[in-house]
Parts: sequence; C-alpha cells; structure tokens
Amino acid sequence: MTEKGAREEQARPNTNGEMDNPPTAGETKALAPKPETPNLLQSAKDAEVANAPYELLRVDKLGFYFGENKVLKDIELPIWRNSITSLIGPSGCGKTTLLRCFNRMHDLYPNNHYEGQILMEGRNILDKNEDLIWLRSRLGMVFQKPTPFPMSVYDNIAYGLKLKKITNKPRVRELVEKALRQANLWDEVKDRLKENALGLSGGQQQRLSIARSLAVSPAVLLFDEATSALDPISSAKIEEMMVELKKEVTMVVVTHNMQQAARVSDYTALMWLGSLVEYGETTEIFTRPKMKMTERYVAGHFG
Amino acid sequence: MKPHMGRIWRNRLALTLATCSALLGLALLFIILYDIIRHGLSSLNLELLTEDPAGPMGGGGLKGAFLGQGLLTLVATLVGAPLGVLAGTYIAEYGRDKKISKAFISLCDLAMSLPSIVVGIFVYSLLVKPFGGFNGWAGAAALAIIMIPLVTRTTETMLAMVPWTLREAALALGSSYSQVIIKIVYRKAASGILTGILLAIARVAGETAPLMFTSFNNNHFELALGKPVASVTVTVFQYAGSPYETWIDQAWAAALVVTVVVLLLNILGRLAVKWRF
Repeated sequence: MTEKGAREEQARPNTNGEMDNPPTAGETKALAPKPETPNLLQSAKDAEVANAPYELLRVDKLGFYFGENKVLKDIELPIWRNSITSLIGPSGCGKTTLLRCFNRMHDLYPNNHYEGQILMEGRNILDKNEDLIWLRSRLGMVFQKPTPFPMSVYDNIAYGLKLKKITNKPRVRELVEKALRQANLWDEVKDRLKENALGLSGGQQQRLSIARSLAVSPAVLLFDEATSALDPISSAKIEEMMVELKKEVTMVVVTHNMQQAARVSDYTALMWLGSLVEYGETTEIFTRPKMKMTERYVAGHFG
Repeated sequence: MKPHMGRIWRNRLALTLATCSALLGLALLFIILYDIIRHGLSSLNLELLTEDPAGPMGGGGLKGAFLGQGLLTLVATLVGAPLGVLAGTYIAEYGRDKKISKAFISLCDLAMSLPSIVVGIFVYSLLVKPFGGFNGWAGAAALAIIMIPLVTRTTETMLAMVPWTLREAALALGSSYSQVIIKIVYRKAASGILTGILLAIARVAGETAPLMFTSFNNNHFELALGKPVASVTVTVFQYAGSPYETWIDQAWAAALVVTVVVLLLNILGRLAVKWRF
C-alpha cells in the first residue's frame, strides 16, 4: 500500500516546498499550538498533570442570537479533556447551535452574534479577533451527513494536512494511514486509497470524514448527529471508535439517540428551549437526575 | 359512457398534440440537416480546408476563414470563459445573500436574450470606429461578450448545486473560503462548468451577425488580429448571396463543416456532464 500511496502522491502536481522541508521541521512547527496556548505535554511533570481531569473548554454565560432572537440563554458548561460530552434535548432546543459556537461555524452567516465567553485554556475563542482558521483546525467537526470531498480517499485525508503545510510525502502518508486507522477505516480502504471517496458506503464515508478531521490532530472533535443517518452496524463502529479515541481527543456529541448518549459519553448535558437544564456525569443524568424534567426526558416522556 | 371517459379523451388529445408538435420540430431540424448535408457533401473536399480562396471560376478553399473563425473563437473563449466563471463564482459564493447577485442574474438573463447583432453594433462603436477599421480583436470581443453571460449563468447554477455541508466541512477543517472554492467547490462542479463553457463555445462558433460589424471578412489569409480577419460564417453569408455557382457550392460545404463542428461541441458538452473526477 505504501507504494500505492507513493504513486498517488507523485501523481499530484505541485506539492511545493517538498525539497526544502527536512522530514519533520516544517510540520512540527505547523502542528505546535500557538505560543499563547500553554502546551501541557511539554515536560514529564506536565504529563502527570495531563492525566488529571482538566477543563479544556469552559462555556461561560454563553448567549447566542439569530438576529434579535435569543436562541441560547446563559449556558454554563465545562468540557473535560479526553472525555465525551453529549448534548441531548428535543429538536430545536439549541444543542446544534451550541455545538456550532465551539468552532464558530455561525460566523459564516450574517445577522447573528454571541454573548459571554467560551474559554479554551483561558483564551476566549469567541473573541472577535480570534483566528478562525486556526481555531477550526483545533476543533474539528463531523456533520450529520457524510461529506466526502470529490477526490480520492487518500487526497481527502491529505487535504487537511496540506492546509497545515505538511507536504513531506512520507510524513503525509504516515499521517494519512494513522488517521484512517484511528477511524477504524484503514483495513477497508487500504487497497482503494486512489479511488474516488464517493464510491465508499455511507458508513465508510462518515468514518472518512472523521479520519479527515483527525488527520489535522485537533484538540476537540464536535459530532453533529454524526451517526443519525447511518445503519446500526455503521453507528456501532463509530461509537466503538469514539471510545478508543478518548485517549487523544476530547469529544462533544450532539445526539437524538438517548442510548448512544448513555453508552458512549462520560458527561451529559440536557438542553431545553435554548437553556441548559442539567449537566452531570452520564450515569448520574440517566439514573439519578436532579431535575424532574431530566428524569422525564431520559425516560422518553417528552421530546 | 363511464364518467371518467371525458378525462381519458382529454388526456389522449393532449398527448397527440404534444407528440405532433415534437415531431414537427424534430422534422424541421432533420430537414435542415438533410439539406445541408445533401448540398454540402457534394462540394466538400480537403482543399476547402487547406487552400486559399480562388476566384469565382472554381477551385481554392477557405483556409483563412476556418483558421480565422477558430482564432476568433479561441481568443473569445480565453477572455470570456474565465470572466464568466469568475462572475458566476461571485454570484454563487461571495455575493450569495446579497441583492446585487439577484440583479446580476437578471442582467445575465437579459444579456443572453440580446440579439447578437446588437452586440456587434455595440462593439463596432467601441472597438472599430475609434480605431479606424475592422479588426479581429473587435470580432473576438463581440464573441466574448456573448459568451460571458452564458458561462456566468451556468457556473452560478452549477456552484449553487454543490451542497452547503461540503463547504462547511472544508471550512471546519480550517480552510479559507477561497481555498474551499478552488479546491472543493470547483472540483465538485467542474463537469457542469465545463459543459457550460463548451455549450457557450458552440453558441458563438456559429455566430455571423456580431462578426459582420467587427472582424468583417478578408479575402487574403490574415491571422493578425489588428486587421480584418476572415470567418466561415461571414464568408458563407457573402458566398451564398453571390451569383457564382462555385461560391454557392463552397458556402454549402462550409456551412456543413460549421454545423458538424457545432454539433460535435454540443455532444461533447452533453458528455462532459457525466464526466467525473
């Protein structure tokens, strides 16, 4: 396969700067977070800290408006590192809207604005001057419908790497393989890396989308009902993969599937009409909720 | 009679009328084609494409006219296609939610239905009169002006058909919008845009009126765009109206070649739609 990948790579025109890039120098620079973000894995001492529960994101009095319409109200929520947090709630409760605040997807459209803060390691990512390109490479997103780019399987994954200026061919191949393995897709596509990604099945396309997001090594992966369009077996594969991925990435998952939230997530937040009803450890939320509404919702009485 | 028999008969009537109209249209098209082939084929020979024009006594060919037309179309495409694609990109992408985009679309539709002779006269006043004579640049410009709205409109339509989630997915990876358009959206819409360009070329390759006032015609072999440049369509127009039998025959043969080329471009355009990357 590596050979296959190599030919693939050569077929592509103009990967500029490949010669003057010593194997890793260019790319470690690109991978390293910006100076103002503390890098927690820098020393052995920090590695210890890294295993301790750590609040990667803190949603602080977040409000969000579509025009004059306030659709998120004073959301307070921590996102713990290397955990899965599910956002549940009935349709229209604002869970997807909240998810899209994390990577500032709303900024693509006019007439909306944020209130309050989302802190990522102390930095307010809702800041007007935030570098959205950097931010979105740190917080990847997987959508409800699979979104394969109209190119080969290999190029789909390499796309994000090129954005990060990783063009050293062996390194790109290595990272493509790593991402596909992380997404449990490698064995299924290793012989068809050059084929058009549109030829994959729906479940494979979705895992490809996940692999593509993982390739740029984000800190957070946001799932927007990522399994709702898939069959149970494909969903199960993705759930399995998510649990494995916790070692490397923090996940926030919007889901309508209560069982899925209960199965995969460590923390659960229930939203209703744009407000946060209850947040807690998933076992607590599903077995001993503090709020009557949570109890009724997780039991399937409404929504 | 059963109560619904009336509806059945009305349906049959509508079906018959529609079928007859379709057949009539097709029949006319085939009569035209048949006529061109019948007249054109008999005087079609290689000299038509390789020789310079001879007098009305016969012989010679229309090399200059064919090459001239090809050159004018090529220059028009090199100018018109990129401008059209970029304009379509603005309307579908950057100006998506703006009122000005809707205005542009209306203007494009208006420009597409503009009689091509109007474009010819417009370019005449702009690029022929002030420069003191007919020239090839003016001809190419007139063809480009006809192409731009066609390409703009197809590009805009094709880009709008690319699902939004694809753009969001690329943006969510940390691409800039221009990267998303160039690397993802264009790729997805490529076959459609290519079809639009090919059909636009087919459209202008058979134009006569806009060339009569601009590049005019030239009995001598001339491919310098600063001078009048011969074109097949204008030559056909002149030869067909001449009293000489030999010229009329050559006009038929040249018309056949133009028809076949335009037909091939159209077929190529239809095929390109199915082409995938």
